Amino acid sequence: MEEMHGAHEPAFESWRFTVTATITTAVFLVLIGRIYMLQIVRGETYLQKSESNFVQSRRIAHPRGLVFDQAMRPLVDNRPSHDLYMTLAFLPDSEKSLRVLGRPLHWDKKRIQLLDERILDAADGAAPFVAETSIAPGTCDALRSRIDKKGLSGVRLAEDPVSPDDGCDLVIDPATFSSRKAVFARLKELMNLPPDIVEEAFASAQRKARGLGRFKPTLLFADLPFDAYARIEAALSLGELPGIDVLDSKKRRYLTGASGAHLLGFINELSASEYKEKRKEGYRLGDKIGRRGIERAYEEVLRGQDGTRRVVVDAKGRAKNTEWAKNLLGDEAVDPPVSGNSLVLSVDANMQRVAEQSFLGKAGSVVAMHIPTGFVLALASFPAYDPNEVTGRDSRRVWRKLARDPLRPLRNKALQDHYAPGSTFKAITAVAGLREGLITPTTIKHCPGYFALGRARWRCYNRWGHGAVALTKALQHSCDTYFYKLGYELQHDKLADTAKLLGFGSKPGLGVDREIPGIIPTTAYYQKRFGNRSPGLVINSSIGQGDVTVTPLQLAMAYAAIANGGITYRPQMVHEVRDPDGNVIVHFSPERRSDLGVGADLMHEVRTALSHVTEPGGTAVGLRWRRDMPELSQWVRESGVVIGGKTGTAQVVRLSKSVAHIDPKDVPYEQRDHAWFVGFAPAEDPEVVVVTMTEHGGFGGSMSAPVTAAVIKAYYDHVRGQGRYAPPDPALEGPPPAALAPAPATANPAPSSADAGTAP
Amino acid sequence: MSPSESIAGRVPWNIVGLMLLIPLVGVINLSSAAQATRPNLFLLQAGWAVVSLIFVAVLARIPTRNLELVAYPFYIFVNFLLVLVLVAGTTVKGSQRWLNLGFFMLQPSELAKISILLVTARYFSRYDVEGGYTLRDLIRPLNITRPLGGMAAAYMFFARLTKKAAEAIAEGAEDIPFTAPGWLQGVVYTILVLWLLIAIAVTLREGFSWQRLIAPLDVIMAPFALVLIEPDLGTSLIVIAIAGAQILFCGVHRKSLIIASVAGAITVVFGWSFLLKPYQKRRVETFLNPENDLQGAGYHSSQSMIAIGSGQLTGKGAGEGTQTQLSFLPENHTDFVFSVLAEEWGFIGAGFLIILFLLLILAIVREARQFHERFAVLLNVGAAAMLFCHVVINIGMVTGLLPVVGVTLPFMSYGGSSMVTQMLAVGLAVNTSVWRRR
Repeated sequence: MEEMHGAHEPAFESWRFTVTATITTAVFLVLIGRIYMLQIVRGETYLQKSESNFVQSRRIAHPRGLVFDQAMRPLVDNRPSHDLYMTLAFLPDSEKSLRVLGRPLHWDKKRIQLLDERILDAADGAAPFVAETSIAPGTCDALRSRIDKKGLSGVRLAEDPVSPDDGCDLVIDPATFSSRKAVFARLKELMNLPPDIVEEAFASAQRKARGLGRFKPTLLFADLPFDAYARIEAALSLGELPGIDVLDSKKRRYLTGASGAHLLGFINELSASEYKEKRKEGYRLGDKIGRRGIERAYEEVLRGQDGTRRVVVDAKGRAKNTEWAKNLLGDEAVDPPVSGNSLVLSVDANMQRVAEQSFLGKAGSVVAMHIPTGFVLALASFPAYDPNEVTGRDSRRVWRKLARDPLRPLRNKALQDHYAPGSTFKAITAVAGLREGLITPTTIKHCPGYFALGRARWRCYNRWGHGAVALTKALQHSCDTYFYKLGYELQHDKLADTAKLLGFGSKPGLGVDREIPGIIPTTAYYQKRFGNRSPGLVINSSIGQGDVTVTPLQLAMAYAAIANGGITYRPQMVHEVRDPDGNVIVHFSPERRSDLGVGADLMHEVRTALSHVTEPGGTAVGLRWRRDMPELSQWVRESGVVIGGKTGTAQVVRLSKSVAHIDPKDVPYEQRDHAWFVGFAPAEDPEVVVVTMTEHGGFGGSMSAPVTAAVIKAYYDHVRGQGRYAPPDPALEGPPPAALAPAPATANPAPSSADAGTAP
Repeated sequence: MSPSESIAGRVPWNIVGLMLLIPLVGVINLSSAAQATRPNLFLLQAGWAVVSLIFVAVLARIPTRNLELVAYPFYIFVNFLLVLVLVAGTTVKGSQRWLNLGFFMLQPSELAKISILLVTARYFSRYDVEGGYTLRDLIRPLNITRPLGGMAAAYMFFARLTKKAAEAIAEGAEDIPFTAPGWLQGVVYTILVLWLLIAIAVTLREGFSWQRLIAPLDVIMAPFALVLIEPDLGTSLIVIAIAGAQILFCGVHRKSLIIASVAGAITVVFGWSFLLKPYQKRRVETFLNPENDLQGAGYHSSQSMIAIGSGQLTGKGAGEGTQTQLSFLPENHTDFVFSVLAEEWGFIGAGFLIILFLLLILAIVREARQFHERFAVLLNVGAAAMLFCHVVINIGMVTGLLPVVGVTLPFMSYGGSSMVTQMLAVGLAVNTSVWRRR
């Protein structure tokens, strides 16, 4: 080997190598110490962090319980629907693209922000705008290569065709520039829905997705129409629409549309403030909750519980479904959802429909009740709304419209509005008289056309008077004088006692929505109101005017009691709760509220008297010969079913003498009388009672009676003797009280009771 | 003793064994790291390793003395490439680092490391000062080149300020950047001219020599500055570190060392305020508080720390790292490849790799103990310094000890240029051992 110059001893002293090696080793020990720190000391923390990085809990929608009518016809179910979600953080970021463009142009932060706002705020179809003018040719080339390399869309360089050396302008088209705006524009195109609805949805979703919400999927649009869903799915599979997802969900469907709207109610998304209270009960943000009617009252039964599925996501939030990803999650990946229980209502869909279709007025309500049990067969309020629309995609507009409607369609008028009962209350006054022993069925009172007390006179609607009147005639002709006299004898408290036993003046206890109690004035009530006992005012009360108010549901309940011999049942609407497999888990039995304690024979007299209303001479005899509804009239005449009942025409405005008898059609709508008709059938052994209340309907006999009759006919056509409503069979309907079956044997006119001493 | 026998007998098998083992670990690790994105990447990397080993084999046959001869020409060639890349280079992610050769994207800054290694060794092997170099020896302030360079720098600096101010005025910005007033420029230029005159006078009195023209500092600063303005802060720092390590190894006068440290600290502060680009500043800022801005600039650092930490003692298993496979870990086949290893093989795997690197560096340093030639020793020291810097900066950055500066992990990060460069550096150490005098 060739000799190299230099000494034959080592070139450098040994200590230099030792120092070098020591320093190197020391620094490497620091590195090892650092990874020891990260991996061993803090390893557990970082492991958890890595898990929360890639594991996302996604909910599995559960079906809410179904609602059936009494014959197991579905009224409310769930249909599959597709919801559109966005994750703001994964949508294209225009600011980023602008930064790329801005570098060669030396844009500062403020400039980029302004341009970003301009792009995001641009209206649809806004023309492309010039972001920068007369850029130097060199910079133009740099920009061009940036645009090509990054694949930026919606931006181009415009050159002056005459003198291309003068540089170029940078033109940005906000509709296609890579931003969330562009994604929304594309979505809008794919959805093909009215632009204002879509805009509103996008705007509210972007508001919700602020802060940490950027990383969470936010509902952009619920319940996509099917064709829109198909188009969006196709675009997603092509990798368009970054940051957009379509998730399957269940949408509540009210199969009968507006029919039964008030009794069924609807569901709605939990608001942020409600969520704070309800989270303890296991609700999550975005959950729906029952708002009205059955949906609200039986929320706990119907609700069920969402399940969760843990999924592995990558850094862009995309779910990974590989075998490897599944193994990462282990066995507890799915927490299965719990379906809600179903309800079987006592309501019959046919009767409900008939009640709604035959209603003649603009506003009011119809209540049908099964007399032996107190179960509600139909419950309608007018005007109604379609719960599908209220919860649908255009809900905001629908909601505004409903809230502004002067006829208050959102209110369930059968239980949430109270009215003067008018003449329908006379039966209650009569029962009170019998109960207190002030009259017997044969007690005769004279009607000269008015009742005078001191200098005051109360006129009978028949100014010539009805002459000698006993109970049957009084109710059949609705003679005011008879009840003025009886009422005056009873006075406030005795009348109120009976009325309260029949369910007036307190909430009926249906348990659905907020019921109101109505007013039954007592002496104490007048003491409080006027400071004196006002004994004369009972005369108004006795014919259902004055301060007396009742709800249609209360009236149905009271007439059911009158018809069944005096027992008041708590109104109920639900027969059974069933689990998702259809097994009955709860069965509801009739519940007694009170017993009138009046002899069965006396109650029979009242019932018989009421059964003459639809007969010649009765106030509702018109029902037999309605030209506009020949079929119904024929049924009333020929079916052999006797409808007992009472008309009522409640004054809304006190009319002066001169206008007392003008045609109701000439009176302004809001001044017309309320029209009542309570009917029950069959008169001899009543099973069903129907109350029709037509607000401002004029005369009860003509506006309300046909509705009641039609609903009763529907009972005969569709319900009576079938299934649940087979002829009263004690074994089937639970323990019916003994008094329920009034003995037909006592149908003969009963002898006057012991104290029947009052002669006309 | 035939030459081939002598070579075989003198091959430092400890170094060669490690330079085979570490790339093997790297290839295995890459097969998992890039599994999701580029499944065949590890084969490419294996190919690069083989190519590099062939280069090393060739290099080992060239006598060390000949390398000494090549040092300056190679240095000039590399500087030429560095200028070329600034003129005609390809820009990726905001820095102009690559020369497109058609079949291969050459990164001249990688070659700059090898060249500074060679040239510094060459220079200081012939230049020895009793008691260690003083700053004066290294800088030689009265060189003619110094005031000339100062003038060029001052001109560029002032011109840039003026241009920025003009742009700001044209844009109508509210705050117009500082411009150097005429009197200040005048003062600066006057000082520089006086300096030049003194330098010329001194030169004339003491006689001209090459040493008067080029100082050691100039040799180091040329490639450093060219790499820095690409911009590639990481590589430029490594260039300085290699040369600095070699100089320190030769010995620096104690007083000068202290002065240099103080001056270095001042430069860091000055550089922070004036020289660093905003993205570089942001990186340093997020390094100081990475959890602050998870999705922003601190994202890399904190995801990397999560990956490493969650590996715990034994790791999640090959191909099972969630941070890697689900792309939470950015650039997992280049700069953050160590995090992949640490996640999937745990403390055991990561510690093993660090020890392998340590053994390699110690072996290279130890080999040089008995060398008789300063040049050979300095080559080994330079190679060790280069490895050391890469390993420490890279692992320091992925473990959150240092700011993210984009330095690769030798033999582990994917990349042809990087692999060849690192192999050649170690190859120089192999070379010196093979050709050492007994």
